[in-house]
Amino acid sequence: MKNISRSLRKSKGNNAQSNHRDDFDREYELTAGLHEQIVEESYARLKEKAARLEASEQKYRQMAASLEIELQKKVQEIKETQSQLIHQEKMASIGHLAAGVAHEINNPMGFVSSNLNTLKEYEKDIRSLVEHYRSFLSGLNETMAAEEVRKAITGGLERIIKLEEEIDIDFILEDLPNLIEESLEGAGRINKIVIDLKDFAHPGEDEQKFADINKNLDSTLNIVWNELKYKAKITKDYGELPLVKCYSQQLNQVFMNILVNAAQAIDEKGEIKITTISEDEHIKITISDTGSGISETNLSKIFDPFFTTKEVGKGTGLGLNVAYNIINKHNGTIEVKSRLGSGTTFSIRLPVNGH
Amino acid sequence: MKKHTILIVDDEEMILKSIVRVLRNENYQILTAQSGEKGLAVLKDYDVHLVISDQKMPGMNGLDFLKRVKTDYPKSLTIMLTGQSELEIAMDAINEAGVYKFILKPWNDNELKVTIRRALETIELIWERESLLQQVKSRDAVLQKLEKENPGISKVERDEDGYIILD
Ligand SMILES: Nc1ncnc2c1ncn2[C@@H]1O[C@H](COP(=O)(O)OP(=O)(O)OP(=O)(O)O)[C@@H](O)[C@H]1O
Ligand SMILES: [Mg+2]
Repeated sequence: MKNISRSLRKSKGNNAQSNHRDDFDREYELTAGLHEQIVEESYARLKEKAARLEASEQKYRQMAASLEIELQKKVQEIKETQSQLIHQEKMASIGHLAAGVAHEINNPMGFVSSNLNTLKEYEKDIRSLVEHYRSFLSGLNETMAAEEVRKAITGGLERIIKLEEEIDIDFILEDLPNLIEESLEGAGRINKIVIDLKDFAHPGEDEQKFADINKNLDSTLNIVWNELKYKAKITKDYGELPLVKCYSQQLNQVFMNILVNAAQAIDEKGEIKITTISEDEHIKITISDTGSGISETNLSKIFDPFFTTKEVGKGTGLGLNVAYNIINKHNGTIEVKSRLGSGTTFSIRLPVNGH
Repeated sequence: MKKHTILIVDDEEMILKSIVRVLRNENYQILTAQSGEKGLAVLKDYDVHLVISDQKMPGMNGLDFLKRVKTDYPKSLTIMLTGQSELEIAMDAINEAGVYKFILKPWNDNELKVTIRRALETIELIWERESLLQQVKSRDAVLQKLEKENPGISKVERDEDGYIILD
């Protein structure tokens, strides 16, 4: 404002003569002033802007720092949720398992307890027969006359034969050893399931132990047997393996997830083949099935958390993610090969000495 | 009382044996089969009053087997014996397969015996009612035939004093 008013005053002195020059001067002065004004103005503004920029840079830096912190927190949170999810998955599969195990236990429980009940009946019958024998024997004594003895014997025998027929002692004697044998077998089956279950669900495993992976596979097979037995013929080809330093229960979890998937992939009747082999400082486990196979598009996603092609309630899509994480933790690798319509093979390589 | 025939189906042989033991003194003819398919074959050859079946079996499961029994042999009663306490299957068993009773494994021997006795009594009642109905129907048919041949014969007419009018 100030510059313009000054140049206007100047031009008032020499007005009519050189209108043209005047105009030029004025114009020049005007522009020069304008330029000055702009420079001055923009300088101030730039300074201001710089200050502001500096301030905001400061702010951004702070924000970035706090974002970094925030990010770390989120990462931590995600990690925690993930381990929670793994835990939940474990719980879910154990719940799932419990139903199967209950069925597996209820069958032997059913016939063992029923057999014991029957045994109680047999015992009653046998006891009453023995009592008859005893009273028969005590009814005889040396002082009796021959005629008396004959009478006592005939009467006693009659009663005993009648009772023997009534209780069908021949049947009982024939059946007793079978009943006991079958019951012992049932009890053995229950025992085995309980031991496997205890091995399997052993909580709080924070130390690596040396394990025979072939045994791990067998105990896992036992646990999921209920799910597999109607679907698949199981072929095992176990090689001789060194003991492997590992989180043994977690590996069982991996085997279970893969085996259950294999069974679920088989529609009617198929085959699951499990091979183990030892390769320089590593062991390799392959589990292949003759199930539905996995399409190429899905193959890249199967280890992603929550990727599932199963209907609601059947799959959460965590099984293989959990498996992947566990194998990773062991410094191992897990690979999959699949052909749609013909089957799938999972291969796991684990270092013998843990990590 | 006549001897009833019972078919028990379970893929576990030892279950079959233990139940046969429980029913040893009950005077039934007992048949067993280790699968639904074999059970259906047995049903072709015998007149079975009561069918008891496990649910979880390879091949045909218990529910499907008992459904088949219900449609092919509507006169026999069915009982499902299973370790699965799932409500869903129990409901299907009762609704779809018309199952008379649902027994859980491990079972109680006395309960099993009583349940079987009740089932057979129920069957007797149902069959008796059927045969009575049959009798009534055939008598009805005779009467209708008579009436057709001799109109009015099956109706009794009386006069005001209650005497039967004979034409
Ligand atoms: N052996 C297999 N054959 C065919 N498809 C498979 C096989 N294993 C895994 N898949 C595919 O990979 C998907 C992911 O498997 P994953 O075990 O992670 O989850 P899920 O089985 O669906 O659910 P869950 O959490 O109950 O295990 C499955 O839904 C299935 O489509
Ligand atoms: Mg799975």
